[in-house]
Amino acid sequence: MQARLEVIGAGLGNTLQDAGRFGHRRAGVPWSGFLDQSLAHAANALVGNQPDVACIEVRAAGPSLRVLVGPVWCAVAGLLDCTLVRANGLRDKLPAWRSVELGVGDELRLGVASDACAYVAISGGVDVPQVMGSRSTYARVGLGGIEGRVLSVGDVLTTHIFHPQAQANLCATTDMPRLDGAVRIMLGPQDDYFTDQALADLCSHTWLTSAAQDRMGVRLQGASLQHRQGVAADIVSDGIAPGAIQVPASGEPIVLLADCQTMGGYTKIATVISADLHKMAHLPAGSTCQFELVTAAQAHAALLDNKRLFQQWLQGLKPYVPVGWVDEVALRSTNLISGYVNAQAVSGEDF
Amino acid sequence: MPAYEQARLLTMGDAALTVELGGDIDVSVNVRCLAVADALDALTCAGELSGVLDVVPTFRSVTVMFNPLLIDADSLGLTMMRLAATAAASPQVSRIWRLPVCFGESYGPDLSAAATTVAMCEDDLITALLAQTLRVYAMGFLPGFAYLAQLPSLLKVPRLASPRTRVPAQSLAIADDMACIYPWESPGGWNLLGCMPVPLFDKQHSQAPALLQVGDQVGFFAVSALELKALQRVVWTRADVQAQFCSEQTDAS
Repeated sequence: MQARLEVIGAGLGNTLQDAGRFGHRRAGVPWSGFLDQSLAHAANALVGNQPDVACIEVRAAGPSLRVLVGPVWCAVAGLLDCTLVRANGLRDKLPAWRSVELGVGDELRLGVASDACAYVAISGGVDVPQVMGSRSTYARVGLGGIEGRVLSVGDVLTTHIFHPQAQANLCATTDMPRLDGAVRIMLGPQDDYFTDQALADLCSHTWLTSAAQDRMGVRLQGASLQHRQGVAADIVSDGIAPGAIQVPASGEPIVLLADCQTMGGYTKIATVISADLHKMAHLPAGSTCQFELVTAAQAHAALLDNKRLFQQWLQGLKPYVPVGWVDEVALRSTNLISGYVNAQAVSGEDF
Repeated sequence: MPAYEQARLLTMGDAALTVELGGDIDVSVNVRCLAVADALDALTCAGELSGVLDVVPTFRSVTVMFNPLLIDADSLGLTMMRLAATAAASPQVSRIWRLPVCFGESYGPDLSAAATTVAMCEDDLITALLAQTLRVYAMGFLPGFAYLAQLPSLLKVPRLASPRTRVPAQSLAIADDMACIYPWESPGGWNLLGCMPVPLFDKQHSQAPALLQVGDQVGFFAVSALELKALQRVVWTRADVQAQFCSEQTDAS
């Protein structure tokens, strides 16, 4: 079936995102896509979706949604309060890291993403037209998502077809492991434009995030990274990638994110490794971060570590029993239903 | 020395590499960058570089973005360096565009000041600009945005001292030795001379959403405000735009 949910509260700056829009940077089109891929994958897994289907990325105040056509399963991944208001008026908190089944008239009221990036997944995934191979919203020029913009009141989110009987009520046995600690970087591509002091400052300073941040990038404050004498602060514009740390003549670095432009003329002192780029999405204004220099081999190992940790988390997903339901699993495991326990094993082996 | 004797390979994190062929903006360097990018795209399409997500030619370098779990950065870097050393610009078909521009008035608020800067009257500045055919050296900054170069030194006007927060879409602008047309409303610090009404980006045309591509040649012709209004009312298809404003010529150089 296909479910439909109406946006009854817009929140602030909420977009639909999927894995991103690849292969068009040559035409000047940025990737866009999930700022925190693992977190989005987790939200999707909790409602039985494929990892890269479109879901809602919440950076500030989340939206409120009402089910028009259900049932539908929703789940929150990340630090985001969520209140469930049933059609009959009953209210409940929906904790993150578990799915919930919603019927017609039920409402999901999302709070504020306290660390600036969380995801709300809907069973089936949100179906909006693909634009150049992706449903990701690039609001800068109005590509993807709903009419290329943030969610607004009255929008209706239609899901892809899904099978209600296949959507288990899933919950995680643990929260997703949060990889705190320094943001790991590799020097380059233009580290040779900077003084030794600037290279040392980059990793020794504690950087403060400013309010000047969006899906294109995060501006950092705390020190002024100096370009070498006799070297221009700007270069002939060249290719830039999410993670690149560009330093204008002012010396205040900007870390580029998923919506960053494809080319730029500022020097890039270093680049955040892909395993840690998601950390830059979780730094609301006034947060601090530190950088740590690593080698290519360490960056690769970190990426494999991330993958392994996510797989471990995924294996910890288990069905849960909504309050008030008979816990069949418990009944079976304690063999209260006589003769039931071995029924499957028997049928598997003997027939 | 615009072209390096040997290309430089630059690391941009664990998921992007840039091969730099020269230090300055130079047509022969840019032609080679395009050849390297085309060769990398061809290898990717042939399935020989699985994991490559984007290949971006710019003025003097080519950036490759990739999934580091699917392709080894060291071997990709070797391939990029090999292509930088060997990829020769084959005789290519250049597309030559003649695009309509309505100069001045509200469409070109900086025309008068720019003319003063280059010590010309407005009409002479327009005539000098219309005599130019500019190469698309790079696409970027915004979807469909082309960096057109190089303007002769007599047309060089510096960037505005303080950028505008809002440049209207379709503005034709110049700064230093470059020209551009803003496909979208955007902040910008270039000198606005006029309005170019043909759409530069079409998301429906997903194989090639940008009208222009690196290597294209672009010139302009002047239209009146009345003609501009008529052109702005047209619902353009890509085929119509090409038929009306583009010709092709084989470049033997």
